Amino acid sequence: LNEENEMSFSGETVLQDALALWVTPATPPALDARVLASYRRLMAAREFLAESPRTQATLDQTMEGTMKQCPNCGEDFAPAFSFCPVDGAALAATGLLYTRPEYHLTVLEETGLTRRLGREIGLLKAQLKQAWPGFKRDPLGFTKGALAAASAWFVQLFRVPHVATATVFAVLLVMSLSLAVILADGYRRRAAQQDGLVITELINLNDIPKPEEPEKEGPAGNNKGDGGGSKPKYEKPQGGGGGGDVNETRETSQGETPPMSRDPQVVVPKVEPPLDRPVLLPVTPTLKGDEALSKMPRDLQFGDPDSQSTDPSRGKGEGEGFGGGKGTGAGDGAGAGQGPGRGENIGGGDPNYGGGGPGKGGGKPSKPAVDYNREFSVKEVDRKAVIISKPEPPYTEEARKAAASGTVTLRVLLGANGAVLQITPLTRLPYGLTEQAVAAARKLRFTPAQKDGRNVAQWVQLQYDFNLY
Amino acid sequence: LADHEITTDKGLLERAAQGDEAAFRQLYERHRDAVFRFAYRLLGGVEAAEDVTHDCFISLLERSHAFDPTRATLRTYLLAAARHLTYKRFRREGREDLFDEPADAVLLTEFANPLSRLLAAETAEAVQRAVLELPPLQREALILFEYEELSLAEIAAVTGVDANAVKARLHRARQGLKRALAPFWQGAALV
Repeated sequence: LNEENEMSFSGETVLQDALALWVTPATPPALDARVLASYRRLMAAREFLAESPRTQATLDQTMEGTMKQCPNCGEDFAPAFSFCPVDGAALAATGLLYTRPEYHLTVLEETGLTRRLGREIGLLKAQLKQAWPGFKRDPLGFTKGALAAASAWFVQLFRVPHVATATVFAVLLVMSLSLAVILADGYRRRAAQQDGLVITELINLNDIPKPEEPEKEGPAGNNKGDGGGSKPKYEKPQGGGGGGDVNETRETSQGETPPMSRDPQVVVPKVEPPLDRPVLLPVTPTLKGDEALSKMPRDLQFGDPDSQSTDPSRGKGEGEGFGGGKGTGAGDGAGAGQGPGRGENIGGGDPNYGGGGPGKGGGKPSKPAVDYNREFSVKEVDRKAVIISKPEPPYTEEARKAAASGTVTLRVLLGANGAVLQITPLTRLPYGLTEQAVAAARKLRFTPAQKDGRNVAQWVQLQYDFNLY
Repeated sequence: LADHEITTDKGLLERAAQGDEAAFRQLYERHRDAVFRFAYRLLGGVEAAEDVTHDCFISLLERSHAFDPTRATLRTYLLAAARHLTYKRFRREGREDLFDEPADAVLLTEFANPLSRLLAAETAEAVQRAVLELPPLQREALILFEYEELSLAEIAAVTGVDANAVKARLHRARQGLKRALAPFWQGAALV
């Protein structure tokens, strides 16, 4: 006691005065209400448990005693534990009450799903580890015990107030909802059948494909060799043919080109008008080539579509066809096709049956879907963007003082509308030079890149050199 | 229960455990403030102190027969429980500092002079900070001794160590406080 007095009055009144300044707030009234509510809940639960002696006995058995603590890890355990599951040390009593965890109606937690899953898996692993020796010793007895424990847990769960009611309510709710859906569906089917219609399939409106834009009529094959063909992908048609009369001095007369056929040429087209006499086995005169490149056969006079001459002439070529070439075709080439090439089909060069692209090939092949709103690289566009003016960025004062020099490389997106859309520096320079380069790049003037005749956005890489001379 | 037993802590606790709400109220109101103050000074926050006080009384009821009046007073018992709950909270949260806004010092009204009031407010805040910055074991010893006015033996019972250890902790706590409050020493002496 003397020691205490010494401590209290050993000239430390100043400290005590100072300590007295720290005043705690009054106990909040809300706390009183909370404690009282908990008290009432606890008493109600006790009353309920008192009515089921078995549960009470089980609870008393497991909750008996005070809290225990592991001397090694310092973790607290319920009285039912004897050894620490982590390090196996015997638990020591702390002399403190065991507080039963509060009962929560909801299972909502603040921790994330993955973390909770990890925790649960960890717990399961630990439990399995603990259970394994017992199971190994007596598998049958262990299983029986586990089943008994599970059923006891189940029974206990449903003895908790409102759990049974809540479960029955939830099951009934889900069942009635399902029933309502089934009934509504049946009613709708009956209604539809009464109208004489049977619903075979519900179609999601989003699944209905939009009507395809009508294929633009592109130029069919022509003498320049840039037409299309019947192959699905664009491929330049090649080949050609021609013919004419070696003794002819006049140019080939004007007329339609005959239809194409891959079949061998049976009748060579003539520029003379069709004879007005009965034919026993009528055969349409054809050129050998891709059918996709020619128009529907018409009973017209054949000849060179570009010619101005109306005087029937097969042209100055050689062979049975017409035009300036050789062979049974049309045009200046050699062979059974049309155009300046060789062999068959349309165009120039050696024969090749082409394929269609957008707007080419007479529209028969399907058009590949190209999103013209996306950003294109230099390689993807048909015509690159052309920079008309590239203002030079000025030096900054700091850079001049520091005698900084070097190159700023920018990646610039030149928009389809002629505006600079995006600038990304790839290499930088200090003293605000990168910013100067970016500012200069904003002032670029250019004509947009084109793909398939449309303006598109294209990325370019620009370099701005900063040098002090 | 005999009449004199009805108003003792033990008697009230027994009746409260049997469902006598009035007895529980009496018991709660008797010890509520001490537990709340202790928890508040240990934790430094109103909400945390409320939780600890609540849990403390509920745990007392749940295991009412574990309280033995021959070993300690109910107040000591409750403070020990509050201490245990507080440390559990520290461990769970992995930190020891739970600062709320500094409490409004009621004593400040005593200082009519605005300058004194300002100085006192500043000192009060510094005291709170200094106490909360003490190591937990020194802090609890100081709080129990200075604020709850427990004897060394009682503090030893609450904290589960012998009285000499409590004395040593108290001494170190005072030294620490003096160091921390040195800049205010003159000011505190003035007011």
